Amino acid sequence: MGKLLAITGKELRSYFVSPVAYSVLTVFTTITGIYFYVVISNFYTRFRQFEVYSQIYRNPELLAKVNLNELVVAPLFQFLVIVLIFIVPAITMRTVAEERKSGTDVLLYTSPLTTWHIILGKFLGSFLFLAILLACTGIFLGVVFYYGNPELGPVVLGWLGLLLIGTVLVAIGLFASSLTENQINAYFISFAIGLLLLITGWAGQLLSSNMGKMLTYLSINEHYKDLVRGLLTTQDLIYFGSFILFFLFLAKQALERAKWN
Amino acid sequence: MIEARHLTKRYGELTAIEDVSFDLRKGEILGFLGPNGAGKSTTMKILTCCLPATSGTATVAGFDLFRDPMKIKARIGYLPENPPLYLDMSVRAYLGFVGRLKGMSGAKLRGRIDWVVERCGLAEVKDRLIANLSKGFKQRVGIAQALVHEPEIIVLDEPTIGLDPRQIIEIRSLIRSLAGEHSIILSTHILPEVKTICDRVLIINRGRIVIEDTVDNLENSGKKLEEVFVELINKEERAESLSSEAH
Repeated sequence: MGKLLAITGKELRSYFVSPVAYSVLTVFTTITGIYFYVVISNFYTRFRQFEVYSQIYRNPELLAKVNLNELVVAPLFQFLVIVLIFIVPAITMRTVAEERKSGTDVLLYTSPLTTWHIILGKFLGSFLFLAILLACTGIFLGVVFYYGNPELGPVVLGWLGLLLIGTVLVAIGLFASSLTENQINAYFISFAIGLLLLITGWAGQLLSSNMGKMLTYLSINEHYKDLVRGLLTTQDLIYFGSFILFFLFLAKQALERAKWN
Repeated sequence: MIEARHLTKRYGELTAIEDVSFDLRKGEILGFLGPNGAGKSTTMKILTCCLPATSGTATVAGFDLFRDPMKIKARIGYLPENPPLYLDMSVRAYLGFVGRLKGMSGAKLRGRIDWVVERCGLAEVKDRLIANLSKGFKQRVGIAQALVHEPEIIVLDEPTIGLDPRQIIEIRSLIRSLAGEHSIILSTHILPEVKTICDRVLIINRGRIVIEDTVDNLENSGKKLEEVFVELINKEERAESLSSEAH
């Protein structure tokens, strides 16, 4: 365990020593901030509109239709899913590829470590960085809660869902990184796989047959929709869990094959 | 400490080493001598469990290469041709990391790091980032990481390559001082190095062992080691081209 945590510690420290962490965090929060502003402005406009309607029709109930969760939180989370698909590969692309390129993987292979030590240690390091990244979105949620009154459940679960999706993307990124020594390559492979998981949802909707159902099941969005609405099902947890384990296992295989070449 | 028997490594059609057998005795310094591409690094990678052999067996520190690689890895220190340095860490942080990878921790690790830093002459740079070190210091850090976990066996692949003459002398005396408590294999193609440091030497060429003997014995015939080396290499290459002509 100590060995695994040693690797995690090194990975995390390494993130914050390099400019990558800071550019990723900056880009991420800036883009999210801009989108947040757009969404809030939109909400405000709608709110004003419905204020007028509720006065005209003497129906205060109408105002309740401008739902903060629906108009702000849910779009924000959906947006963040897409941003994660772009950003997580940038976090994970160097995890294995760089070690291979600089020759430091020899140190790992000649130390008394199992491949799982290496994979899980790196996975945990990237995961913690992801958690820090998502924690930065807390500021936007903080603003919403301070000025408004959204439902807590969907917000908490939506955030958890983002963490789960991000973790799946981390596992994919780790696998992609273990296939190559070129970081750019690693980025594109993991980005492509992440995008594929998103797109299968759209394809699944177009095909109504069993194939369509299967594709829909594979899509990330399908399982995320429940979480955004405030629903946590075991089916969703199993989906995320199995993808994470699957890609971690693939990463382990890729690492061992390269080592025993 | 090491018993290698008939180690062979093939990459498809290419044979890197063939039928390599030798012993490393406790406390001695064994030199691998040979031209570039002879198979010295390959043999070392196999002994340190970095690379699997195509065939053959070896016992390292009493453990079998295939059955107990973990136990071997805990007892062996390895400096590859390119030292595996993390450039974004300080010297001390790096050695701490290596120590933890090998299973050390706590006060024992800290004490060991101090010892290794002192022994390898890294005291003045111990808090500097490895990226900012000169080649000589980087090489010393590379040697330090091979020592930090008190290994029984140390494998050094061209430890003095690229160093200036003064650094070379320092590293050689460091290596010599480690013998006895540690058993060392060192590879080089610098003949004077073999003479000054090694107890015994293995001459390797084109993946095969040409001869295994003590330096004194090889020079006994009155010839210098350089001559013996060139002669043996030429003799072997001539024999090989003759046999390939015959086919």
